[in-house]
Amino acid sequence: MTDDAQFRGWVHCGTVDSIPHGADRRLSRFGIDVRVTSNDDGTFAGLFEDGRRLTKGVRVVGGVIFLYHAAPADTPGAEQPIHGELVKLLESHPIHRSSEEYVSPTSVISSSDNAVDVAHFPTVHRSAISSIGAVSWKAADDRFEITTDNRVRPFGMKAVFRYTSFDAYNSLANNEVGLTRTSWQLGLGAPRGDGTTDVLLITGHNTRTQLHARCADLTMRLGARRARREDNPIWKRQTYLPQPQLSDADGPILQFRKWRSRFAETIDATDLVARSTDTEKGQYA
Amino acid sequence: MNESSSTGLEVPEIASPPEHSVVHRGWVQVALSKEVRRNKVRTVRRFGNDIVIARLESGRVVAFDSTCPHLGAHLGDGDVVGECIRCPFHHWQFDDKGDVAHVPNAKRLPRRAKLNQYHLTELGGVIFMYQFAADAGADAVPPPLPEKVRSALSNTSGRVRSFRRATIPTTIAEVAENAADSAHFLPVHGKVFRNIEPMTHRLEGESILIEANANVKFRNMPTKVQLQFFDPYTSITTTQNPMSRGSYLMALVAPREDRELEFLLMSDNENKIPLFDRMMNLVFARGSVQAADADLPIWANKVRIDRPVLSDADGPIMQFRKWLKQFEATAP
Repeated sequence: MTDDAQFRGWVHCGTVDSIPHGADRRLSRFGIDVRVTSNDDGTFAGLFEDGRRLTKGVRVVGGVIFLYHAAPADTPGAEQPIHGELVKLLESHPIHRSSEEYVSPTSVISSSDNAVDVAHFPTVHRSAISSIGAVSWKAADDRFEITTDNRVRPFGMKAVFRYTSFDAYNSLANNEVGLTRTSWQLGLGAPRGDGTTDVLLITGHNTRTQLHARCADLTMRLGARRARREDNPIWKRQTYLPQPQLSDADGPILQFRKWRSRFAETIDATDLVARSTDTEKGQYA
Repeated sequence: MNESSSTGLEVPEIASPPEHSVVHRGWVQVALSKEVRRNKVRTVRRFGNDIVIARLESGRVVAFDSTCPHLGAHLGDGDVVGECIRCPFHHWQFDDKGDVAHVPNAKRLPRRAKLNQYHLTELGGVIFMYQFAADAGADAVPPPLPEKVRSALSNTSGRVRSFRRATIPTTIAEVAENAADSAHFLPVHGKVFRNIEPMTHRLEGESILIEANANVKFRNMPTKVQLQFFDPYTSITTTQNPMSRGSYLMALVAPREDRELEFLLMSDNENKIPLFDRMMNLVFARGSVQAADADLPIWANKVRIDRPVLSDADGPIMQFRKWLKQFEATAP
């Protein structure tokens, strides 16, 4: 499974702020040319040729424009709702919120694998993370969640990193340390169709003061940029291995891939609703 | 199958299998020794794949497939730790056999994680990799480099040597066969040759030796050209004329992609008149690249014909093809 396009789900088309009234924005999603238009009445429309794969125009939630990517066999109009927690965070009003768009040189599946690949934190991101401690994960019907206790530089502070995947494309990260203890970051990935990903990072801060929020925001932005700089050289030449050789020091990579496969095209869309709500859990010392 | 045309001539048969499905066994140059420094990793492209070459702390050179079997990182971005190559992603270390030797924080080593290793030999400043056939088996041992090649590479005393590299968009079969095609020298390389006599050839062990007497344009100088192919990738050309002074040109040809060859040309000369002999090397190597440049427009558009219609003015093309066939092997 190497192709992002095999997964159903809502993918972002940027923010409403990125398209002035009456203008449009051209994007590529799954190799399909998409034109998102900002109408004079404040609504948005999406124009694209392949109406089977990208269905029902666009939806705007909390200032973010989304398109639904369906499987060819899906019944028109049978798309799943946008994840409730994603909607809640996008529509929330934190004391400070910022967004940033960039192109990642890898696929959505490789970059989301990366978030649960805890063993690379102290090697690739050794400038920030000195070691990792306990790792726990939970695969529920509506989310995959992994929590890692990290030791971060420069003082070896304990930092709890929590990553929650809502579907194949959208996720939430919390890094509970220092200034960013009450901050959250949504990572919205949208496959362009050429093996790269349009990423939209939205960061919110529920702090007491604007100054605290802005400092936390700066810390998170700089941290995310540095992490990107460290990951990009690996991603540019990485090969996706469907059957990797793992060790007992690796995170729950295969468990995450198994959970994500519920969004794969090969599974009937109605099965997503009917699927068992059993929860799988795991822990690493 | 061949068909007969109305003129009674046999219609040439266009090659049926695509050329990229055929590889040839043999030693292929991958780098100059000086390009693979101690404790460094270098990536080269051979047969459509990335191959990483590393010189370990002991000075030994090793080569592996570039993809880490753990999570697919490119080992060319990694480094050398002692006698191991280290993946840049999770710092897994692989020893000189490609076996996993260290995994940070792991209680047990995942023994199934192993790198595919290539056989290397290093001689005379050149690193060679052996290309096996698909059915060679994991324990296959490559033969030594041909004796004449070993001898030429080892003999450096009193000689001056220079290397030149070029990338040419064609296949190994086209380039090799070109040397036996005596009839093309005047039409295509008329800037160099005034005339060329019919070629002779003979087999020497696994190698083929092609000889011809020619007159080059420069002062109408009579020149005896001897070209010996040891395998599809390695040949030595010697020219005997009043200016050649024991010089020879070793052409080490390595397929990077289906239709992309990397030439490493080594010119070697007696070093009696240093400046003159160095200049001769330069002229020799540059001349070879220019000769290939003249061939390029033809190679770009020509179709390989399995059974060409030949005349008595052609060189030993079919004999050369028969010789080349002994190296053919299915792609691993």
